[in-house]
Amino acid sequence: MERYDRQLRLWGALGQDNLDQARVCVLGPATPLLQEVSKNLVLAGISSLTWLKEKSAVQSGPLFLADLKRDLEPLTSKQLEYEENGLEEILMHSHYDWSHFSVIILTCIGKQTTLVDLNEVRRRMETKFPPVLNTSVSGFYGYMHLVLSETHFVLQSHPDNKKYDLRLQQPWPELVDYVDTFDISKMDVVAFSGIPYIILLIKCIAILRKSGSEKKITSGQVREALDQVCLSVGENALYESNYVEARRYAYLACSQDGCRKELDDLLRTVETSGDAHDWHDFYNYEILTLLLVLKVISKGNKNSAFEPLTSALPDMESTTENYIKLKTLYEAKAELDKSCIQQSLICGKKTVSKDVLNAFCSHFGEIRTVLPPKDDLLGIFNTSCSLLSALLMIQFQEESIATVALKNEFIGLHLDCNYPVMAFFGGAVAQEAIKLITHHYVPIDDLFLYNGIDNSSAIYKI
Amino acid sequence: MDCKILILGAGGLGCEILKNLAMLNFVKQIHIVDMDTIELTNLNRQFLFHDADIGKPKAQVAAHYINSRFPQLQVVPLVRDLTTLHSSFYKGFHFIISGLDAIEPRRFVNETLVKLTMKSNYEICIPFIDGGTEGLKGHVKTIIPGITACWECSIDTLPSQQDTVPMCTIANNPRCIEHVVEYVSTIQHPELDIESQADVQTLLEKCYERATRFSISTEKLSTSFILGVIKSIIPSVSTTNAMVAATCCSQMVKIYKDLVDLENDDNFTLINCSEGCFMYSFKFERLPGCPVCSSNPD
Repeated sequence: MERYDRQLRLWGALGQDNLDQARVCVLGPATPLLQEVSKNLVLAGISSLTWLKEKSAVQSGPLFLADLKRDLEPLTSKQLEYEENGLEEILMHSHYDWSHFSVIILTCIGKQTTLVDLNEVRRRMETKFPPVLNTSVSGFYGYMHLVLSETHFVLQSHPDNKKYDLRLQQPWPELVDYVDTFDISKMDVVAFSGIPYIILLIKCIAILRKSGSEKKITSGQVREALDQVCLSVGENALYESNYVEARRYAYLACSQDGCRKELDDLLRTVETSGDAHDWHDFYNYEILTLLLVLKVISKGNKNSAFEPLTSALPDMESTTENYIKLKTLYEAKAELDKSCIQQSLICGKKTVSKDVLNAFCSHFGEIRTVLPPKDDLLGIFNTSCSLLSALLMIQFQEESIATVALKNEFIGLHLDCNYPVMAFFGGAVAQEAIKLITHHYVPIDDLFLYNGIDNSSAIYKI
Repeated sequence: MDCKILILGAGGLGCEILKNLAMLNFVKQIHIVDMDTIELTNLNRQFLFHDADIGKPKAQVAAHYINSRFPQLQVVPLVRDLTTLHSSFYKGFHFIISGLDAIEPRRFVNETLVKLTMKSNYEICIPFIDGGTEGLKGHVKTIIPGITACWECSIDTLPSQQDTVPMCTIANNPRCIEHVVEYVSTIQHPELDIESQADVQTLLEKCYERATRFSISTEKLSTSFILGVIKSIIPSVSTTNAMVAATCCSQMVKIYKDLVDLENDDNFTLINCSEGCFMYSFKFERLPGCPVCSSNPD
């Protein structure tokens, strides 16, 4: 695993395991783009690769790898499972097992019939068809289109700034008891300075609630209450770091939780995760099952929303003892919530792997969804976007490059020196495949357009 | 014009840049500078190196890979500290593309190139294209010395050393395992060498001891974790490297083929793939009092 140390820090051992188990299918003629995608995936730890070769003449520069299989083998520590087949033959073969691929990547497809045929297979297989990434490059421009067949769930989105679930407004009984053990008015400044700000804020909210404030508490009110509480220790308390932190984070005490619209919308309409066998990706089934369990628990709780507490506690000014005690309380509650979910799973006769359950509970706030598109693989043809239409015209040779180039001077040009653009897409497409396989980070939804002259990009929803 | 290019760094970005340039027919000679040797943790992205190359100098192995496969191109490796190279060396290139992981060598090259331009009264003006990555994010800066913002102009945009924990916390009130590692490695045992496996093992044991004493969870503790904290290791993956290196090389192609307006086009590009895929460019203006590129520094 030391080989993957630098990327394990991005998606963890579980994510790496998923890459290790995954099977990727790349589809298209021999182009730098196909080579670059394959190379990046094998480097990241993909050890099963199938190339379905399209026989079409594509204009592209020289290839870097002389022999794909031979040159990819030394890039992995495992035995590379490599297969190469003619695409045309496979598409005629009605029993070909497409569903065993984790992701299918289309690169610089030259014939529109390939897309049409594949789309037909996809339609027949319904949700059992793998996610498809369709990508093509011309000159300094390119696109990448993600077509899912089932809802994709992201287990960990890894936001830049983690939002901690601290339950300041709804402390559970054990936490309330612990907060009550601190009698601030009887403390000296030294003892005061060792109290974590979370405790100060929970105290303030309790005071505000007691004084009859049923309405939404504002951060101004919390700060006023905080000053009163702290002044009982003495003026000097207002110079302590924990007071400063409490003041800074007072807005957390007032924030409304559960504002994740996309998840709520999805859960309102979905009642069951169905049969596990109807899903292409077992993770998606497991995550939806867990989300539905939360819904069941909420119903049993007189409809008060149930979300598992994540045990994560930010570092804050505190004595070691107070902080560890607080952390233990958060961990115990998180453990309790998890076992509550486990119980409910058993009642509903559902099973979910331990790894997914643990990740789900410890990163609950990071779950995201990407829905399958309304349209299909051919959706890219029903677009009013002029750059995409021009790219498709060149890709499927509907118009000569010269004619398209008249309309847009850069688009068909510089085919002999666009290796770097192919390499860019090789990285971008491989990254999207890795996101789908690991369920870490949020994939594109659903069309990415690239302008290499301006170095800019745009995302469109088809 | 046959193009002669210098690549700074033969790591994740350097390997990608070298490969991309080798695929461009107008590039005839490349020099690549790097003083590091190959390690196992490089192999998830530095694809010009294989397991048997561990311990060998990066620049040499990378150059050999290309020279043996693409004889029409000449790659010259330099295994040395780039800050020891004289400006007369830098002067000989049409482009300089960097894939370095440290700030100081970039500042050195930037200053060298700006001086070359100023002293020659703009007769020498070598574009300097700089790439950097961190996890799924990256940036590319295109510097035309004396014309667009230089590397030093934007130095204030770099994040300061974040999340520094006060020493009294680390010594008296450690709360998490990072605090423990920090104390053990910098205060308790500063003599231990993190490059030595035996020393790292000792470090690990000492961390266990201290964490247990303060009842801090040791769940995350491992040698890889300790090294991550001490060296503040930056996560790195083939995909982001490919995108950033490709953007650097595209910049070079566009300048060479005269497809850009050097004075007015956007010179800084940001890439972020953690949520969707995002690329944005903007024009970073020259800093009026820049200590390197302004004629009247503050």
